[in-house]
Amino acid sequence: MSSMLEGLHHHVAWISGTTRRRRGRFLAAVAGVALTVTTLAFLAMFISASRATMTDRAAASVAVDWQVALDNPADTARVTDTLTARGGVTAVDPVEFLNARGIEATTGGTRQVTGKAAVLGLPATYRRDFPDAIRTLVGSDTGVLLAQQTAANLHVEPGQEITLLWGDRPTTVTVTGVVELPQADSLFQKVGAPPQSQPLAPPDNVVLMPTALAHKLATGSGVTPKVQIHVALTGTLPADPASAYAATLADANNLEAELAGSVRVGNNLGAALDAAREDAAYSQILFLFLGAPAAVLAGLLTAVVVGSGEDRRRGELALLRLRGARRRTVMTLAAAEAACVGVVGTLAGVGAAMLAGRFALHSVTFGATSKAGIVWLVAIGLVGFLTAQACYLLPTVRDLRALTVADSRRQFGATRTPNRYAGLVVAMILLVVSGLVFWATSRSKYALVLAPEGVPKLSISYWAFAAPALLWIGAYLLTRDGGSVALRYARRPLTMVLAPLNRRITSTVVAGVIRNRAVIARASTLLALAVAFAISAATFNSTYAQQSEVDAQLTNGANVQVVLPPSGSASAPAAEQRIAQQLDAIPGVRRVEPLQHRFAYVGNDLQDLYGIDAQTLPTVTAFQDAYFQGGTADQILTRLRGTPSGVLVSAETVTDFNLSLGDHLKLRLPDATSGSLRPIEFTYVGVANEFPTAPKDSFLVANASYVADQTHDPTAGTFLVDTEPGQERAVADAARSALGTSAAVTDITQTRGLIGSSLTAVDLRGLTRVELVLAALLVLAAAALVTGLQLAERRRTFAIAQVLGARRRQLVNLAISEAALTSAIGLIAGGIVGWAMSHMLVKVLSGVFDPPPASLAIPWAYLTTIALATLAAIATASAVAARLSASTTVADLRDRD
Amino acid sequence: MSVTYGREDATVRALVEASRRLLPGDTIALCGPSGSGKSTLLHVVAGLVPPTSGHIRWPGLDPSVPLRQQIGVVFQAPSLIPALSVVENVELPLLLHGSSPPAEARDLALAALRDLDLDGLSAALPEEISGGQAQRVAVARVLAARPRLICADEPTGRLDLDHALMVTNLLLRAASQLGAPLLVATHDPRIADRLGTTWPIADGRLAEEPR
Repeated sequence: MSSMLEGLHHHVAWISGTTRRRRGRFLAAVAGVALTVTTLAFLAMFISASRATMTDRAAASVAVDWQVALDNPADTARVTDTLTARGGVTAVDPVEFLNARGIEATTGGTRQVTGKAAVLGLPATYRRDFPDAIRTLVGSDTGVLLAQQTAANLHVEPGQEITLLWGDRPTTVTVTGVVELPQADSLFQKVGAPPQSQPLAPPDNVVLMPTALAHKLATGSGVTPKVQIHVALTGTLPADPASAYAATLADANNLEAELAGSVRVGNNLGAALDAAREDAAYSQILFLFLGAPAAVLAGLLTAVVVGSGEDRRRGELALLRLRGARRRTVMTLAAAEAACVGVVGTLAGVGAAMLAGRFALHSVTFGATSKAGIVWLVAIGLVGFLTAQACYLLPTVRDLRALTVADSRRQFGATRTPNRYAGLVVAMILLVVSGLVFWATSRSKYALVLAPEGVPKLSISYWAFAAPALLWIGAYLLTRDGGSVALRYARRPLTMVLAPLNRRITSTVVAGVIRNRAVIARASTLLALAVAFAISAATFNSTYAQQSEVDAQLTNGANVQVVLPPSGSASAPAAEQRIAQQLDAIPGVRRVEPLQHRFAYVGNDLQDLYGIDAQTLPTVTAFQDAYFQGGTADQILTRLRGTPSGVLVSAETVTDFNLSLGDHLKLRLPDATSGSLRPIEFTYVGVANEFPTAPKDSFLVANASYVADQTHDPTAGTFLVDTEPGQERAVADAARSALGTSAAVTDITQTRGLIGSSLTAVDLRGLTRVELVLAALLVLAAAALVTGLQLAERRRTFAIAQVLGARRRQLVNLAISEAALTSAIGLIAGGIVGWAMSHMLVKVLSGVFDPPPASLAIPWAYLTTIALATLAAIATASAVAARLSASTTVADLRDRD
Repeated sequence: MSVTYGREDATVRALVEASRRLLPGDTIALCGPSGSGKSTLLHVVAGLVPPTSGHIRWPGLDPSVPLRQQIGVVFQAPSLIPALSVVENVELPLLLHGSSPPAEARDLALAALRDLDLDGLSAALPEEISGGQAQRVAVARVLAARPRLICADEPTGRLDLDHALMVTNLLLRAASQLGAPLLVATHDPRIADRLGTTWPIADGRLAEEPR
């Protein structure tokens, strides 16, 4: 017992002594562990917050949570009662689905007839219970409503009559409004059918009407309805998408079981959560991958701080051994010191992360569930503790193995230059493998794909992470070992570079640099990695933000989009002219650009057609080269402008119709004069992958003037409005106020919240802010610590030089030479690695960008600030070191006497 | 002159009212037990530590040349720069002083090494040579710099007697060659006996009379 107490006393005395005597080094090691822990803890919080966001977004993106299909319409009341009685159900509305052979309308003296049509009977409460399922574009919210495309096909507007061709008695009704069905894919899904059996597209012709009217008309015509019960659920879901998915799936299964197989549940909420849980799993890897280098770097910095007292520690160990301390005692002393650093650093790191989380994420939750939170905290604590242990114990073990009594008398700062060629070879192999993996993974084009239910979903290989990971390791080894080898053979260039500063003693300084090459290369490597991380993190985040904005603008067309209802009246052009003038007069509007939106038949395929002025459209919306194939955006639009009958088509259309550039293409468009479809000849001039406001599948782009001439219809139907920065919402509000319900107005701020998959919609700003701060801290810490510690290790050398008659300026220049060399290698290598890493990250993770970026968005302001701050940190560290060097005394030479 | 270390209530009087004259050709052993103040006095003489009170003059030195360039110092601990080879260490003072161009400094350094039978070690690094050899190199460095005063602080403290005597003889030879006074701090009477005069020192006070 007494020996245990004695041992404990020795350990406490040792820790107390080392922390007091080397307070700066102790605090720096604590800061290193804290930085490692902060990075990981903040990532845990971000992942937790982003998962909750994904769940919320997935739930919010669904207009109708469940579509319960009934095998027997007679069960409607029973099933409705069962659903209403269930917990978690907020709304239950039976919807009748009827089929018509077609719809007929006569407008402007012409008669149009559509193909098959779907007629839905909706209860009066439906619009209130499912507000996102239907959007009124024009006219009334109630009564007989036509889907937008149907109205366009029939040239019908509110107040006009249509005839439903069904059963044995066609019935005529008056249209009261035109609507959009944002989630038509899921609304018309085949409930319970596997994905491959789902319809390729929703019906072209849709009529909505009150249930009572639909029932009356159908009964009179002998049409039997099918019934679905649409269900809204309460929003209380587990924060984690996987748990939320499991919960909603179990709930749906329970309902099917309860109703003994008489219903099939179309679980739209489950489908959205299923996509979100896959995105969440991927995002966890992605965010860890983006942030992990910072944690590793912080760990490496800790190792450098601890390792900087290597010679002193080795001497102490030798003395301890000499005085009878056993290996175990030495190890436990090192472990105790490490534990002290680890515990203090971990607590400080978690505290800092919580502060960062509160400010950047407004959340301090470490996991989606409390269990996950505990697992994260334990894991983070372990990492902090083990980082400290590794930094202290590994060198101790190494020293104990190699230690001799002679080490206790060894000179300070004795140069040990390990053989770096083996590492260089490994580095080259890793870089080549990284290149090969990059080549292989970037060849497969990751993209957002649409699941049958219409939920955007990512398809990305986890292999994509291998290339950047290998590049990190390869770059680390190449900078460390390649730098060391390069310095060995760089006597002449070093002499040229260092001569202006060191003059007569240049050869001596160069000789010293070459012999200290391993230390200099190691310091440069840390700086390089920190700089590379800052560059790649900032560039990735900046590009992500840029593409989110591009995506929003691509979806909305411009800052503000104004869609007018379809109108076949002769006064429409004049009305549009007036609207354009009204929009132009709104304060904050920079430019108003008309965009024709029509529907055209390519063979039997109905596609959206956009008529544009290729010269003026780019002034209101940004075009990226990635929107087109076979040339830049500018080239393709110039080609379109130069060919009046030109048309841009989708790649799919090129394949389907075997088109070559210059081929003539006959499209059928509605003619305003005749009121019927008319074949018009176009010339194929290029391929468009994406286009503002266009759907993700096939569409056409042509010259507006040509379309207007050929269809005898100069109306546009849509206006894209460019606004002053920050004025988007105000302009949209003013437009709504000016145009009333006669136009649908959307602004880009609304669109930002609606686009993309749950992953691309994750707001990276919180992570970005903290990541950029961490990157800056790492660069500054690497610059100042590495330079400062490296020069502190030379303190004895400076003391000797001073005794030998070195002047103050010579000492300062000596210090600056080594610091400048370390910084130059670090900054140059960091710049190259950062550039390569940015390109690689953006390329291999192109799946998270929609659309893929045409070029990287480089945050020059941030990077310039970092570069200047780094140089300032190095200059400060050098100046302090030089000042200390110049003030070294003879005591520094007697340090160990 | 006196030297006091520390501040306020934690002061240590390392040297108390010491007064001596050092003449060309003098070879002095500053002798006393550990902590007696011999190193402090030597450092004051070498210009490395200023006296807290009193003053020191070097009338034999050239006032136009920095003091450090005229006084050669040898320490107990190896005072070679680890990253430089033996010859680079020896030529360093010459380069720092600017007294010789690089090629001439190299020749002088090699000559000094040759003089001490160390020319075979010129390319070695300090960590590759023994403690005795390192001290001899330190002496060669003093020799090459041709100082007007040589101070040695326990130069043989870590050496066995044979090597200690060898280093002492080399210091004496260097002083003789350069005509410079030699001041050696030592607690070893056998080393002190090789020098012309002994200044005993205890508790920071020099004995009244030299021996």
